[in-house]
Amino acid sequence: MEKMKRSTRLLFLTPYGLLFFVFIVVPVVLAIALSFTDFNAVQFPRFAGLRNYVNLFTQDEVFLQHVLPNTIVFAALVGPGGYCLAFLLAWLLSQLTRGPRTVLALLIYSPSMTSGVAMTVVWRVIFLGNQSGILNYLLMQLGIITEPVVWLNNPDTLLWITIGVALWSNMGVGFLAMLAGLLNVSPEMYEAAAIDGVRNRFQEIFYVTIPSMKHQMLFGAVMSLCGAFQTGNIGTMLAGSNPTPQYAAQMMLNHIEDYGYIRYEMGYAAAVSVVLLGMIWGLSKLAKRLFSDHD
Amino acid sequence: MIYRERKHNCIGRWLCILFFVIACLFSGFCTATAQVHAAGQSEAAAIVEKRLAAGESADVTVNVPAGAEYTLWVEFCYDETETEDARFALYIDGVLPLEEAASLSLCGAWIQPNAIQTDRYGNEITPLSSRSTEMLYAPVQDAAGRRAMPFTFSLTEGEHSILMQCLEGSVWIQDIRLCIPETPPEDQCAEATGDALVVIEAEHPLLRNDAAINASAEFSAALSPNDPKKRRINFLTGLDTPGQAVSYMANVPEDGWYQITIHCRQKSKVGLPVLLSLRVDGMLSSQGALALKVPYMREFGRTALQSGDRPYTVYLTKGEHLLSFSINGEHLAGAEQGIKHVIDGINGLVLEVTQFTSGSNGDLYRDYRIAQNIPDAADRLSDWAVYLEAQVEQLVKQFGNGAQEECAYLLTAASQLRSLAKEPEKLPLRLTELNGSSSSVLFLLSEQLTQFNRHGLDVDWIAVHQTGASLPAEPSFLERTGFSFNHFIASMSAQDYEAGQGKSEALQVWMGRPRPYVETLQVLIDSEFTPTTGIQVDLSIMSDPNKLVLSTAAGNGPDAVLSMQYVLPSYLNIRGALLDLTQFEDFGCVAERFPLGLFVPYTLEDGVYALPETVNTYVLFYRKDLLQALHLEVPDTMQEVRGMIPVLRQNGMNFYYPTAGMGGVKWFSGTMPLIWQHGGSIYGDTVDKTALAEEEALSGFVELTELFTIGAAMVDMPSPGFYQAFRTGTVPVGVSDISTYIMLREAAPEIDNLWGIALFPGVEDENGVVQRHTSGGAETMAIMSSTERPEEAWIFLKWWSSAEVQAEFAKRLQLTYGSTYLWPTANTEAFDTLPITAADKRIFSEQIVWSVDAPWVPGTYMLERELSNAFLSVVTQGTDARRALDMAIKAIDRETERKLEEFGYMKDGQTVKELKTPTQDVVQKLVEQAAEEENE
Repeated sequence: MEKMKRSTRLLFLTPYGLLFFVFIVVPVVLAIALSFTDFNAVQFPRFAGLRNYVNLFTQDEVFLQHVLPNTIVFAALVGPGGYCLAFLLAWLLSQLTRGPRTVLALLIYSPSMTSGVAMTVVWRVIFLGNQSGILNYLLMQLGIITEPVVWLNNPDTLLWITIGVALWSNMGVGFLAMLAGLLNVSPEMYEAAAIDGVRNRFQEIFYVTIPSMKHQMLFGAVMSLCGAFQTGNIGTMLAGSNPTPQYAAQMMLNHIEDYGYIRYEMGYAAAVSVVLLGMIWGLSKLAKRLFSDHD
Repeated sequence: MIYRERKHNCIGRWLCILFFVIACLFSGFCTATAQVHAAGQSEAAAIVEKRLAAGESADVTVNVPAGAEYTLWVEFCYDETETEDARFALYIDGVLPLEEAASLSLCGAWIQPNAIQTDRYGNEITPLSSRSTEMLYAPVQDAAGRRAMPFTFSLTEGEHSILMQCLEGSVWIQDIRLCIPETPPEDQCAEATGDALVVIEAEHPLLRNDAAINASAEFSAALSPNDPKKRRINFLTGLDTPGQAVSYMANVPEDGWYQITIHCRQKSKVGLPVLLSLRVDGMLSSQGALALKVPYMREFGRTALQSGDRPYTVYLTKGEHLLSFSINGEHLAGAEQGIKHVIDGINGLVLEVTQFTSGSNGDLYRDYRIAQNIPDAADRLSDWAVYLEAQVEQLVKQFGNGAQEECAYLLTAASQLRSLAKEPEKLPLRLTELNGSSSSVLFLLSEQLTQFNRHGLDVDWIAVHQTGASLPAEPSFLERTGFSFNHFIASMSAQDYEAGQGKSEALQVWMGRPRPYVETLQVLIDSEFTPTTGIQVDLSIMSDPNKLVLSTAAGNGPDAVLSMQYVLPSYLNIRGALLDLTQFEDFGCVAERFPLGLFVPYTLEDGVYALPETVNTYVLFYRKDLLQALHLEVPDTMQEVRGMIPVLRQNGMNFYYPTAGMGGVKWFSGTMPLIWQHGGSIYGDTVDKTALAEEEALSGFVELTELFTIGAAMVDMPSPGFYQAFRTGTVPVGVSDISTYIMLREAAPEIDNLWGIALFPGVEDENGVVQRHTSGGAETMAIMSSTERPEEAWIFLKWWSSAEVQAEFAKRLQLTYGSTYLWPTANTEAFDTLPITAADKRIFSEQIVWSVDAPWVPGTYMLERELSNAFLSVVTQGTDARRALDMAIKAIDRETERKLEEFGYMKDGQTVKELKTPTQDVVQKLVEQAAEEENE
């Protein structure tokens, strides 16, 4: 009986296990293997030891000066920022009645669904660098600027615009889970808390809402952090090229693409992606420590 | 099925029909009226018998028997090589009889072979048409084809001189005749009783007057013929602009009244019907035949042609009749004229207003006293609104409320004009609403013109029938589902032109272009190349160039590659993936087919690894009308450009330089021209140190950045910004490439004849010669080093790059898919045969001579990138040009060193082997060397 159960369990695990192995384990192992080689995509890879990693942290100025700081600033603002925004929005929406809540939830979620095409069309028109760009037009009408600002080709502005757009498009991801979590908190808890002496809404959120939706909070945190690190195309799409002008909005992902498909240094690109993998893994561990129950 | 029958008939019978057709042609094929070419019909005639080429004219005298209204008919023919209709101006007694007479055209005819060819995969391919060289007899008509009836003009009795001055093209004129205009009879009410039926497959027209009308294929159960597995040519498409015409031969079984039903799709005009004129044997059977309605139909369906509210009927005798359908755009001509009139007015008003604002966007806190300075501004604006709405009203009266839908752009423009008219004082602030690049009044009106011109009719079959006949049935739901299912299943198996279908005996060639190109070339190969050389070639579509790199790594790459982007060979050859072409002994004479500057990026050390295929050169575009209004000359040098920008800016306009259309990385084609023109280059003799620090390169870079920092040219204008702004006139002059040229030529009807091109504005050197170097690289072809058949691949490349084949390919593309499919071949000799206006072609050819591309060696991508970064930091952040360039040079040299080490030219910072910079001189030397070896 016990034995039967075990084999059945394995049988049921097989499809997932197979898919996981083929599409996750094999590529990751291959990437790690490739990261120790020189591979130019045409000739056979040559073993290079740790040279790629050494070069990455000692010689790659673009990586150290632009890519790493950009990614960290971006992830720090878009990850927690998007997370807080998602929670705030979800909490605000949970205060509404059902009808408007559904409509608004859909509206707020839509940017995450319509990323690519809509984004470039809408945002590039807003930030167009001549006087017919919407932002330039408004600012010129208000007399704040006299000459159009080239927003998307200007290294000073591109990163911030990228962060803004990323916040707009990323907040929807954790938002639905949090909304579900918020709506799951039973009203009795609030009543009990009121009797126990909770005096305002802020205390209610802090002592009742957040503790009772830890799982959704964890999900949201991991999703938004991973999302922040993996988002690479926003900057390049806004600027219209990879690399972005003066690497102003160059993220890890763009750096990988740059080395992999523009310079054909696949081994090096693999090393960068292994580092990215490590960073995401570490951060999701951290998020788990912060939000999961320790029981 | 008259067409089908004829296919089986013997040649003699076919000749008879042809003879008959020619006879019918004489009666005027393209939107010809009912003047049958019978003796006595022409009132006065004059023999010309002369070939008119551009610039030449024919002057004849005719004796008019009586004062009356006349139409002018011409008997003419084209050479097979003349693929463009001739345009000419007509003067009677030294004056233009009508405004439109300044640009008239003689519409030639196109024929296509009767049998449809299939490609190697069993799919039918769009048949290739050719120019009919028969003598044609047709009335002169305006070049835009806006009139359904020929021009008429009144002449008094006595002698008149007629002067035809050819503007473009070349045509043989036999004679000129004056005829009394046709007056078709009133509509007759007759029932087409009976059960006679003739069905003609529309994809086999006997004649067409435009190569853009072509047979096409779609997988649909509704079309006939159809096949869920293979492409079947089954409908006629490309009937789009007024004046286009197709003719069919119908074999009518018995005398009687007939109706005409067509199985078609009309997706362009929602609110208005598309109007067809039908001429039977060259004549209008009734006045109603001039405007037969085809309503909006999203999917293929049957529609009985209606004249007015009744089905159109025509009396036909037993036997063959020539049915000529043409698109009639006359009902829109009034509105079009109105729009053009308003556009002119707006352009004038904008210039007046910008005089007071000095070209700025307007100051919110300043009173421009528009009421005093342009007292009638408000009236003009509201008059235009009223005028435009009146045009729509007229269409509504004629066709019902649907017309408003068709004129949506126009109505929005009118309401915008009204809103502007309400507060004329705000006009300087709201000027962009008049002429901005999007959603402005000018933009909306241009869009409306484009929309008016779009008739988009696809026809499957045409039935000439009586009411009792049973027409081909529409497929049932089950049949449709079955068809879709079969098609879906068929799509699972191997697709044609798919790369990597396993090695076969044939030469594997990949082509980085969409299907129409690949299909056309495969047919050309199968019919011309394989029979003469015995070499089989399998062509495949290469949808993603990365596939080439990956498949080479996997060892199943092709033998040769066509149409890959021009920098790709450098990435491949440095890794040993491409074959050095100089090893072939006749390389020298093959290379001489192209401008040698194009070879620079494919050259490494002593090898040349690719041949140029297409060229993309940059020229200056300018608006004749606007430059004239501003009293500006067409600039010839950058100095002159810098001089004209302030004037443009004062009038709210600007200059466009191609860097503005590029994204975050400004490619060499944007950043390098000025550096070359100043005599600079990116590398010295060897590539280990960049030469950007040299004085010449620096002065080029400074001039480039000053164009934007001091000259204040437009910095950012993503594509298709220039095309739009050029049309609305906010950027009346700019530098752009061949694709812009095609877009403006094909899709900017409102500025036809109002713009021109000139050479790239260059830099004058110390000898007073203007240097105009530009980049010219577009696509290339190469042989992979992994090939087992280098000799055969080389024979193929030689064949493909030859002038005859390039010219033939360009011609076939254009004949099959219309004039938008321009093939900008890099072969200098073949370029001369392209269907571009002679004057424009001269500009392009001259500019191509100046083509030179940057060398691509290890690390050059970093140079391009850093040069772009330096440019942007000067232009957007105000960094000093020299400092920005210094920063860039450091990064470039470091990357070059790293890359040279990777490829073994350097070791530990020491040069092991020098890498010479490929230049045009190096290419020249290699080519000469190859030529010498061949001679030995």
